[in-house]
Amino acid sequence: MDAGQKSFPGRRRRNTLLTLILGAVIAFTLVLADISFRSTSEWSGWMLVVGCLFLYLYSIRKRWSTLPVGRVAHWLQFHLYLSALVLLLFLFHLDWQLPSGWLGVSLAIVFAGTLISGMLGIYWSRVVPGLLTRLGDEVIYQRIPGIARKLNTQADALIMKSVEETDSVALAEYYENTAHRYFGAPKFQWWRLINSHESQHKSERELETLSRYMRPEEIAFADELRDLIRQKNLLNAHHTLQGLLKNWLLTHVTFSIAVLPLLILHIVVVFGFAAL
Amino acid sequence: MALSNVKIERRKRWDKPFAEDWQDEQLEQILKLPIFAAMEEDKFPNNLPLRGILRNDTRVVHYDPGDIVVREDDYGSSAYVIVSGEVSVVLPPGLPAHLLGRAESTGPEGWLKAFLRVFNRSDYRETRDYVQKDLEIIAGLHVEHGVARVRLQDHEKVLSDCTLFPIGEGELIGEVAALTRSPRTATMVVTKPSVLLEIRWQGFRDLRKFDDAFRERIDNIYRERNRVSYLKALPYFSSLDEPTVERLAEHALLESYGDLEWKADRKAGSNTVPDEPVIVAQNDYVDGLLIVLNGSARIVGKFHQGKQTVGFLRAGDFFGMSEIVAEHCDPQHEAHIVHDYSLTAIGHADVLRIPTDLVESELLSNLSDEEIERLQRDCAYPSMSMDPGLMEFFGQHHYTNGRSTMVIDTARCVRCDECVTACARNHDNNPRFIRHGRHFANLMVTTACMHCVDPVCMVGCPTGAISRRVDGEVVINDETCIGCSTCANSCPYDNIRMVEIKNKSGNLAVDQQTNKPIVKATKCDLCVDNLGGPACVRACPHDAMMRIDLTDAESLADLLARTTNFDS
Repeated sequence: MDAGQKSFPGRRRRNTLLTLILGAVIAFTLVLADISFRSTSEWSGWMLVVGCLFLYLYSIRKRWSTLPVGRVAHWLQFHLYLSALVLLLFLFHLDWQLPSGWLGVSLAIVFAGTLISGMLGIYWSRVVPGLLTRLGDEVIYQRIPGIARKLNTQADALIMKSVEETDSVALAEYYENTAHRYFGAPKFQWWRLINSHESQHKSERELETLSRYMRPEEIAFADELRDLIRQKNLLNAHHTLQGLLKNWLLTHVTFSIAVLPLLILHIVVVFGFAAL
Repeated sequence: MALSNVKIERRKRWDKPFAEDWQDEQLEQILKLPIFAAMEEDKFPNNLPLRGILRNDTRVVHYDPGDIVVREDDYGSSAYVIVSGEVSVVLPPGLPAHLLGRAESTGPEGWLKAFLRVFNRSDYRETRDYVQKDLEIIAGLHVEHGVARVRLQDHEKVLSDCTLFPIGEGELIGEVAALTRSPRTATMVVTKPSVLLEIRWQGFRDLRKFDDAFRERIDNIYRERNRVSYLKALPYFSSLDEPTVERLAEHALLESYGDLEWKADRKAGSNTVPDEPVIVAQNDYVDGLLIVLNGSARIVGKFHQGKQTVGFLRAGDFFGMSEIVAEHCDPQHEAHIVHDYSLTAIGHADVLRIPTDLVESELLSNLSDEEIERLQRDCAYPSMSMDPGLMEFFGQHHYTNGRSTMVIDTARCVRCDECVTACARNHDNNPRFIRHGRHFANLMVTTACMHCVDPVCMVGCPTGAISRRVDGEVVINDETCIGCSTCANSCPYDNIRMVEIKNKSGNLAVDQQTNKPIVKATKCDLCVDNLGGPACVRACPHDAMMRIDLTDAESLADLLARTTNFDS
């Protein structure tokens, strides 16, 4: 096992310290330059460009799986801590003020979007895997729609069988009026992010109440339906949490791609006007 | 609707004999061979008669000069009796890998090739360059009497450059590998037209079990050829002189436990140590030092009303040494020493038992005080803990067989599938593993080749396409794989997949005669040709994936730390 994997807190402490030192050096240099009445915006601007290019390299590295250019995990660490320095440079470049002009504002918004989506991503990538693990069963994301369809079919068949064999429609009515909505296409349930099991508890309560009005043989079918609802709830939880992990990345990548043309345009405009 | 039971005939061992075409007179001729003529038929039980073993567990195979009978490093599943003709052992340095149907170990590819591979990827899955050319790429591969074998091309010239040791009629060959399911130590090639009786290992073990003379003969061969060198290679035994090791080897008993045809326990949810064949029981008198020859074993202790797994042993590990050393260091100790724990076979295990008094007089008395202290430390048992779940999990599913098991920490894994993508990029656009498997707490053992200590997948490969490299990686030579699925069916963990192959234009390759798709066995190869090692581990952005040796104490401690951190 790689030694680097053994102590994540140790790695975090080391990288944070290194970033703080580098950040302090950058801040000290820029403040010193500012005190000596030099223009720091050009310096911070170019440093920002270089920083952004290095941030883009992470995405390229992921496609170089055949080359021995270091583990992606190390590149991600570099990407994360460099982002913190880039944020600092960004604030210095803005001179700690809100930007003006449509290009400046657009660039700042897209840049902020990239950073915020990135920070949210770090948070979710640390929290959501734990939530997924605590769900118990693992499900491959791409298989979720197929499993949902199968559960739906099983539930339909179970209810038909229940009506045929018990000659009672208590469970069938409950399924048609209420429980049917638990099935169908996988749903995004935001409360999964706070580890809530409300949906499961609600269906349990409903079935428990209903069981008072069922025939004894119908209760066995209700238990099977409860199990199917539990499986569907689990599927919804996986759909929500795994979907979040995939979709934040899409948002982050979209923002970061949008930064590039605006950044080039910004440089062209700045140097175009400087020439004038 | 009332359900009724369906009565079917229970499957029996000999429902599918090794050969279908045995004639009575042919069997009588075989029984006249000196090796079988000396056997007493009444020593065999009624349900496993000698004739039954020969009829069902053997087959007669005809060979031509140049045919390879056994290949060096192949895992043995059969022994052979030379009925007529001559077979020669190719003495070291042996035949080059490509002549044996193996991929030659050329080391990782160069930087330029690796760089070009980033951009030069096929649009289709499982494409092969050689499909464009000729499918008959396996030089010398031919099938006779339903048995696929490799014939050396221009064998007279090839063998003239080798040192050969001829073996003639009536001799037994390949017996040690068949007995211990260990790698063949040399290649054997037919040098004169020959007829061989192939005995599969099930029958071979029964012959050894019921015929004393045969057992003695086999054990003597094994003792002479292997036991001394095996003991000499073990730690602490290596410092002993040759006559001492020979004395120890002479008195060592070879014992087998469990079933060689074990399959990993597929039933999930059992939370108790399964009933495995007991090698020694807790509190039994320590009558000898046990050395695991092959397979793996579990150290089990009584814990309240149940049994707890304390640790795992595999080839080369000692059991009972701790107790023997403790007694040796305490001369006042008068009572009989007993085993602190039980030892059971996981699936199957072969052990050597060396009598306690010999260990004390020949080994311990020859070691210095420092060496004995070190031995005591090395052989100390891990203490039983209140959190043995992970150990039980690994034991229950036989994961202790893995040398390089892919484990994912699901509390760090963001399910991004970068590992799967990286694997596919390196392997014909088709990943060689499934990011899914059994899990314990936050650790998931994926469906990926574990490069086992006891690679049962290698037993029975007709062309030697699946082999183990020097560093232990089990790899498949795609060009010599004939798609027979033997390895895929043998793998107890279902980690080998059969895939249909295509040419670079995406056209399916089909057999010229049957028009059926050509299939190949594929599995994780630990990216042996890659400059940086396994692409999956390198591609994981969150350090969630590990390839670990599950019997390595340090790796296990790291895994335990991960589960503990998750639980807390």
